[in-house]
Amino acid sequence: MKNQILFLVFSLMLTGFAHGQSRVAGKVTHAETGKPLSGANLVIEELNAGTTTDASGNFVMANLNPGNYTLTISFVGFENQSIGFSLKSNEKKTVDVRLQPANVEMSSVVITATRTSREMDETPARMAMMDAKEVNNLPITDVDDALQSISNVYVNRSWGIFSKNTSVTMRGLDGTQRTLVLLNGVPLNKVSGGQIQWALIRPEDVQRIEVIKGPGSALYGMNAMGGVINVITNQPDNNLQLNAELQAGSMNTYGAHFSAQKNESKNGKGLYWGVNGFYRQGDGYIIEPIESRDSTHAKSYLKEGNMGALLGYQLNTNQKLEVAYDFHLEKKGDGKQVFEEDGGYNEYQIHFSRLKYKGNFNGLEISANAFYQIENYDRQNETVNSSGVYRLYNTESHKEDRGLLLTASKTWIKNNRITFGLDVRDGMVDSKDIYLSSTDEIQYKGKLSFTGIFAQDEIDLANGKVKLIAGARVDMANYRDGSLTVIDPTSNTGFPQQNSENFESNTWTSFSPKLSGMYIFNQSLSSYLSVSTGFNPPKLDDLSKSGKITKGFKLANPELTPETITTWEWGLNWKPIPNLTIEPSIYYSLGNDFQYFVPNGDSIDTGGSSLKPVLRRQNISKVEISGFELNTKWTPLKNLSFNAWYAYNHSVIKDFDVDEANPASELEGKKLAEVPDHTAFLSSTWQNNILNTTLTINYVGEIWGDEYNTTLIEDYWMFDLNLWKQITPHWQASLIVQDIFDRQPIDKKLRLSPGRFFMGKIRYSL
Amino acid sequence: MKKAKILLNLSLAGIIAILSISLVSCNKDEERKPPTIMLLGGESYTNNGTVAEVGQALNFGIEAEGDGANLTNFTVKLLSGGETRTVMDSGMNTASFAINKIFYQGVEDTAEWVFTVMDKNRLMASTSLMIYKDPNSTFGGIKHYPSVIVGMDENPQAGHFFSPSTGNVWMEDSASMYPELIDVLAYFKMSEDNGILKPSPTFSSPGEDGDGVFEFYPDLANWPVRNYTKWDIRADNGVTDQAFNNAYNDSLLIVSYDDVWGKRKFKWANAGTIIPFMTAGGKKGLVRVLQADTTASGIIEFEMKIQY
Repeated sequence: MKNQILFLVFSLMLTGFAHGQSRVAGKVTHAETGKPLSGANLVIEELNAGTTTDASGNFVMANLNPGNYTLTISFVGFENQSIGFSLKSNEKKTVDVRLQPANVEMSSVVITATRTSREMDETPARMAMMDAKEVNNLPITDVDDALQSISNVYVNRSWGIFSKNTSVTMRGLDGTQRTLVLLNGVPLNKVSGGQIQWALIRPEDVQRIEVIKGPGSALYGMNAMGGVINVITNQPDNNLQLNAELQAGSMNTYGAHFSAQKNESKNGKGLYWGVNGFYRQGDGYIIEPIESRDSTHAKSYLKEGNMGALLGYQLNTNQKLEVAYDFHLEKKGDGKQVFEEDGGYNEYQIHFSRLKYKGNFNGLEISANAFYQIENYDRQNETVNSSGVYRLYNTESHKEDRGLLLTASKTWIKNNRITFGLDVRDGMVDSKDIYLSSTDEIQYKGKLSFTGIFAQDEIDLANGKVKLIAGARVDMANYRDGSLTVIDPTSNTGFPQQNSENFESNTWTSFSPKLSGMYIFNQSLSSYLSVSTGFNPPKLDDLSKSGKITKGFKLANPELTPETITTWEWGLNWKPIPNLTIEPSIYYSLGNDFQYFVPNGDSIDTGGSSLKPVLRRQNISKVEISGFELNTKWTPLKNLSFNAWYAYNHSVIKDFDVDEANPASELEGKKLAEVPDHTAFLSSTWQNNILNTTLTINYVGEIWGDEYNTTLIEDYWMFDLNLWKQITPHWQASLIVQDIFDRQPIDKKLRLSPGRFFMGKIRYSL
Repeated sequence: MKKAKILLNLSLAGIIAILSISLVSCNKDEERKPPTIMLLGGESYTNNGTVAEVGQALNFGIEAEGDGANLTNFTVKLLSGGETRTVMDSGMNTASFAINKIFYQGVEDTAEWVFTVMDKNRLMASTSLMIYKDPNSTFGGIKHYPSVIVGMDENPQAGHFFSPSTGNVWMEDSASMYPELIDVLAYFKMSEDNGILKPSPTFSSPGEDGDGVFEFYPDLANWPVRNYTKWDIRADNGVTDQAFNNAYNDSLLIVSYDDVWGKRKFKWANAGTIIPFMTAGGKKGLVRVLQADTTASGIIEFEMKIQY
């Protein structure tokens, strides 16, 4: 039924717009090389109507009335060009445009800040963008690693490529679920808990990454509390692009990646396609520090693979429809092995399908994204605790996420671009813990759905010197079908008796407004102010699941409601000299209804050496964050560039509604866990005829490993290096060295990182 | 262009290879057979229909074997008066086992002892026998130590090791000469409770699993015998001060201790706490803490009642 509705929506979009008789068409090319420019913007000034060029540089603007017009063509890195032309009735005019490369550094166009194309320098928000070249120049092995070069983004991949989960947090907030991550505009965060599977994306397939700092729920809804990260993957062009890469590295790690893509369309019509694949495996290392190792500690091995395909059809220069599918399979050892050959491990199988439509009808831009993600997770947990008790159990979890994201945008009134849309998302989880070394069986289920509507106005005032963006969004959420079943419990799980419980449905509404403004003093100096809001829904795991956790025994709380945050922010964009940018920002955030575990006073046996407290997650605290960040980018020479940033966050829990019966739960005044006060980064890239080099230095200040601030994790410096050489026009060799000085910092669970890690690559590109 | 086609073919071959790997990884459904379990008979073991006095040792010999899947769980349950009590629940991962287990006759008139094994496929097998309480059985006597003082790990004056069988408290050097007699020791540490580090006067024994006890008494590693006393860690074990005072035989001691809750140490043994325990020799007892210092150089004073 849902597929039929989807089809109907797309059909309406495809057929609901009529075409006129007069038209202007043509091609936009590079003035020096003659190569077509894909994605150039064309606007007829008199009509406030526009389009973009296709992969072949072609464009068509139809349904025009006779008259005199001015066509303005713009493209990143090229000088704007305006061409006047007149159209008679039924005339089909051809205009070919040759754009001159700009001599000065041009601004970049981003799509994430407003869900429309917009100059980054003219957007009142703190943003960052990395293109494919910047991403692949970095000494990284996975795409999330690249984000550590962006200020105030804290990437915690503590076990390197062997990490089960990567945590990417922003702006002084902890928790993966408090940052929204998009893949080509489609959310990767699962509705069930906000988790992200970064392994779905390979750095080799990235075209660019856009990062918007600060809350973005006014446009995107859930999870967008610390910021929004949009990873945009390569788009096929008219030339067949082939890449094949072999990798080999430390810990007996080796892998391969390939991709092929081409746009077959001609004159604005036709197919385009792409395929990619990736495989990697490694023996891993023992994550337990030497002093606490015993015979049950084993290597955290790795086996993973990706496969992706893209098929699109360019209906005309203004409309395209594409489907994409990604498959990911991974198995990673968790570092424990007692009797089972594979020991403890985490195994994921993910299917991610997407359907996308994009159209432009006389300046009305419409985009529609439908997606469906399935995750099958299998965990084998094998341990012997300090009392000598052996446990073996499996977690089998099935999660589904689906959604439909509709956006329309047009400049209806001069200097006012209106964007509005509707997002529908639905997620479910069905998870079982099946104990093999005891009789326990725990099953929980739940569904959570969201319907969000939003509107935004981008306003230009004072001849473009003042930019305002006002927007708001309402999200309606519904939690339903939550249940918990406990069969044959023992002290291994802590449940006192068999139990079958169905939870009542719960609904709530979130309102997320945003207002921001920028004043552009001149081309070198601008300043912005903004107030924005964000929210994060409760996890299905917390709504529906009771059971043993590290801290104690958790009780489900189906009455949880979202956390919210409001951020006030000021920033400056300054280019004191050409090729040098300095961008300071300060911000203050106030979070409400943040969720923490609160003990209810009971204690139960969960098979350990002492009784464990019974806890329930509650919307109990306010959180206050004061922060500052400073970004600088300097390119003194064409082949030499520097990127440096520093960020400070003071994130504390305030107004914790402590239960007087349990003063031990008091968290007021505690720092947020896993949020460093100080972080800094420096990278330099030097490209030359001998050996290209990128060196990065990353500083992560002290962090508290837990919310009670009892475990302080030491600060560390991390030095990484990428050396690469273009051997022939088609062959490139590179060597990545991570943690050059073998510092091996520890994580919040006092586990070791891999230490010095080498990864060599040979790549063939066509 | 020819190169491009070759590479394209290689790419497609890669996709097919990955698909094949994922398909091959599917498991075949095989016919699964349950494990087997049997109780050993003969004079050495307690047999079906045995009549036993309260506190008498019941010696069970159990043999079990998986049929194609390893055994992963073994439980012993006691069914009496319509109630079921788990007296042993043990995880394992082995093709087969043969063990002797000693339990002690409780106050139940009639009890069915049920022995169950489960394999990795969660298939089970059980066997059981009936044990009857000797109607002429009387409760056993107890030893009473009104006040015992042992020193925490850094106390240079008070002995750290207590022998319930002799009533002696020894320093480490002396205790190492009689390791088979030592069932109780004490130390102090800061232990995490609900995320908060709290001072914890702790009862333990030389046989405490893991390396925790060596942090306080490193020479224990050299003891030839290290007795393991299990402490019932329930916050509410139901034993009141009045009941403790009125215990003149071992009936309260027997029913108070629940082996499922028996752990290697008892944290936060603060004044007023009453703790059931069982020594390595199967003697059950109760400890009432009279005073507990919260420093490593302090002492812990307690009253103890234990089976003869």
